[in-house]
Amino acid sequence: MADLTAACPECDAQVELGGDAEVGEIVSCPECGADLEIQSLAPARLGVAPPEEEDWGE
Amino acid sequence: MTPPRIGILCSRVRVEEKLLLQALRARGTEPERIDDEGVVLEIGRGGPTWDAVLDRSLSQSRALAALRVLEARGVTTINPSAVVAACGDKVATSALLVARGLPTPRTLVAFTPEAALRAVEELGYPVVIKPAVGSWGRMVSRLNDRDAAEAVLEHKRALGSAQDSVFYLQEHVDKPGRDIRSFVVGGETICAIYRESEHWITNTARGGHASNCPVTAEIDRLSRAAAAAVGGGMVAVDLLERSDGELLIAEVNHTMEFRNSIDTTGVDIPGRIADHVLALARGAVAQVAS
Repeated sequence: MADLTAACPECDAQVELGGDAEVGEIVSCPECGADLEIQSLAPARLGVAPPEEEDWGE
Repeated sequence: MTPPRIGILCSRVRVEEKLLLQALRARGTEPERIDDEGVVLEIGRGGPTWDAVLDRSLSQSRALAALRVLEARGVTTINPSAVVAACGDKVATSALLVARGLPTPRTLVAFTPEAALRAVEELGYPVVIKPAVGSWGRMVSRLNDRDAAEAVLEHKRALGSAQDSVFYLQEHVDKPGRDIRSFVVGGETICAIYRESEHWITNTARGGHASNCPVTAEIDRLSRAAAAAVGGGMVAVDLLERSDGELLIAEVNHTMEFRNSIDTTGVDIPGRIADHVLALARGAVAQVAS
């Protein structure tokens, strides 16, 4: 899966996903900087990551 | 022996969740990701079942609700909802720690800006004001004088939610430019880090730098006692050092971040968590080891 790429939903750039990519992982688009969530791996699909909410934390 | 069915409740797969998924797979189980954005859980009925669910949700309210529903089905939860409730609200955490006679910074609670100002003056400046529910150092403010106190309290009155009408006010501990975070897994203190910062807020989420902190007998004792106080076998404990060396328990975190602490301490934190989760799922150990 080394060459897995998907289109950025914000700017349509091709974003490379690492070989150990996981569904639900957050990646940044190198072109526009948007935070993206990997929605599926086969086929590779990216969506805009959900925004941080007030009660988020550790 | 069939491997236990493990679910991981999460909002995002960050470095921590990725390492946990990898650690669980390396131990022969394929964990199922439960996305708190999309999951629908019926209270009291079937649905997908897991032997154990590891909570890694970023959202405290979602975690609390989901864990309660799962527990009603008999699923082993890590951490259990009671621990999330105890750690997620700083008033609850402080009350549980103090009830066990554990050392904490002096803390006052008030419910109106006027009463909060009286509490601040009683503590003496500087005072730290924190949201009762919150993390990553957000909205934590140091009030150095009466002007600052009046300004912050007025802003909370005007801009805050109902939650902000609980004022959690704490003595400012003059710590030595760092605090200590220890990791307790399965009732054992597995490692600790110093979090150093030029800023008085030392959270690594806020740019604090992590370095290894040897686990002394006192750090071990307080960490395990703090974990037991909130009812959890897997937590991260924030400790503050007074200038005379006395250690105080500041906070207990129920879904700790650890990406900066693995290489720093040399301890395989995700591996230890995976072992603990699998042992609980198999019913081999009890939830709280103290």
